Amino acid sequence: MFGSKDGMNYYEVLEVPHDAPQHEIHKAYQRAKATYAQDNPALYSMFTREEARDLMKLVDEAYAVLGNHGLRRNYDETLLKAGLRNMNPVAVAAPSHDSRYAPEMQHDSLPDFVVPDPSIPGSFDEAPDYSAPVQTLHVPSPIPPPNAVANPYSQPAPKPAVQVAAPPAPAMDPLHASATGVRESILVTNSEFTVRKRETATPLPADTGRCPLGTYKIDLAMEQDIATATEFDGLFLQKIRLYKQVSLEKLSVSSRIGKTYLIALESNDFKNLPATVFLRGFLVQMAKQLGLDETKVVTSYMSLAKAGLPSKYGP
Amino acid sequence: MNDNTPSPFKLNPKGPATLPTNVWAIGGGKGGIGKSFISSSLAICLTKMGKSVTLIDLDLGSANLHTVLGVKIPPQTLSDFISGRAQSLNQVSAPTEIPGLQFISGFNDALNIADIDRDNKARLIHGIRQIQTPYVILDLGAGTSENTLDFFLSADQKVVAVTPEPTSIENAYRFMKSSFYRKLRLAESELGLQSLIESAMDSRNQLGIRSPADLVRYVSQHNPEAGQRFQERIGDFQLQLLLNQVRTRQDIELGHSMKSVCRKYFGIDANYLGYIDHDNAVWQSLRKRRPLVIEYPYSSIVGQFLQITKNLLNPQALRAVI
Repeated sequence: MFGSKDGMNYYEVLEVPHDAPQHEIHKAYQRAKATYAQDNPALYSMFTREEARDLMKLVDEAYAVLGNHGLRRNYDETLLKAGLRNMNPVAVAAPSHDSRYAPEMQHDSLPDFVVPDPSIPGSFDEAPDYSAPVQTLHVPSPIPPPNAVANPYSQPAPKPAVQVAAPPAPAMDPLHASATGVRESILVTNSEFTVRKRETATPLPADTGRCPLGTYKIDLAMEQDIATATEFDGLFLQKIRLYKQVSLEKLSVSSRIGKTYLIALESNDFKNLPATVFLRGFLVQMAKQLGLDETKVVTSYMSLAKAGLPSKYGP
Repeated sequence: MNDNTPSPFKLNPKGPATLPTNVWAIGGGKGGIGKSFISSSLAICLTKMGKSVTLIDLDLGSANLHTVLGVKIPPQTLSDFISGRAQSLNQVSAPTEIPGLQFISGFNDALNIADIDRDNKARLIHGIRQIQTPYVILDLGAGTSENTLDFFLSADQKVVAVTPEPTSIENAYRFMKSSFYRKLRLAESELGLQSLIESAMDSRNQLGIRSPADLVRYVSQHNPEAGQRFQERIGDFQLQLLLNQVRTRQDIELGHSMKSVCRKYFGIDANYLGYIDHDNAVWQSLRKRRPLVIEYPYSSIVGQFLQITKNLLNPQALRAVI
């Protein structure tokens, strides 16, 4: 564990003054995200990958609290009550926070690996300890084993795509073939390959469904619910997301919506949602990523949000 | 009139005592990242703002600032001062064609000038403070030798030049670390923390101290009073980051990232001074042996240098804007 995290409060993590306005906190967050990204040359020879990852988690954690008015106020009060401004942030983690998201707030309880970001080429292939995805890639069978799907962090079945995308390589000795196979399947994690894979989707096993962010086990009752649903509220969207094995981080990365907003969206916390025009965009993104009907999701959620909001947020 | 005869009635012809000399040092660890180019350009920019400047080539042993400036090697150089033939640095500083710019060359015949001893180093650092011009710019050599670090630490503005290549970034961090620990070593007798600093400098120490920020925290936890003194000592260790040979937008962001890494690693605030674009005009002017600021005064890169000079002249303004 990275030694100097102890004793930094969230303001020190984001390097903002205690009275920084929200837009500065947001800016600092974006800058910190860029700084502690895995392939940033500025980290070279100073922080190891693990340390950078820990710092990144800490940055996310700090923004999840400081980026939200209510949570930030609570956090400030806790800091003041404690009488010192530099205490362990984990000990002061957001008291009023929804328990469903608690594991994501306290990075110590997270499993010791991150979701590889598909939008950053090469962020994945050098990683030494992404044990779960690498195991999946080494499986020689062209069809991913069903148990690989159970892990929400694993990459979406790369092998079938390779068979379509890669040029045919007949008459190769098995050793050679497997070596190239592995290399190409790693390439699949680059975003361009992911797109191609979507276009040329090969049949999956009958009990496995596919959404833009991965594969999942089909539950007929749930599919029926989704197909017939007309009311998409936050809780239902969350249910669909969990059913489709999409983690909040993954959705946040691919849809480019901040985790705070996703959490607010899923908990029907209309007060903390952005202006209507942005909300509409967010919903479209979310529906696309989860493979839902955009129009249905947007219209039903927007009408809910309008009803639940005070008039100044309305049109 | 002989200036050496003391006369109680003679007034100082140069007027009252001038302001203390403001010393800027340009370092960066790696060779070839443009330290000489940056120091000469900053010096000329200062003269353009009406200040008088002395530029000292402290790249002892491989001095070539005269080539960058396009001036003849002055009759007297640093080695005259170090060997004792010249009493003060003012005697060896030579005027250049650029109005307001004095130049002290490190060019020398004595081949052992790179290994000056402790006394001469102290004399040199003291001598720099006696220079008549209000601004002095030190062009440091590559590497992290003790002499280079001491010159760097003696300056008021410590500029770390870095280019967006991993080699340069690595060496720049190495340079920062070395100078930071050098500073702690110089202050350690005062702090009474010799053994702690000694063990902290070993990267695999038992205390879990991985970075200077850890060290400060460790000291503060175990002895708040010593921690306070410690923070005062490192408080004036302010680095100025200057990014050279910038080609892309990501390269510009690198400065902000490095600033943040300094904050997290050293626990110190580094300023991101600014960046200089990669420009073919640089090598073209170097081949002509004419300073870029004179040869291409209206290029964008000169504008960037002027802005950086302003930031260095008035660091408060920089902090207020960002």
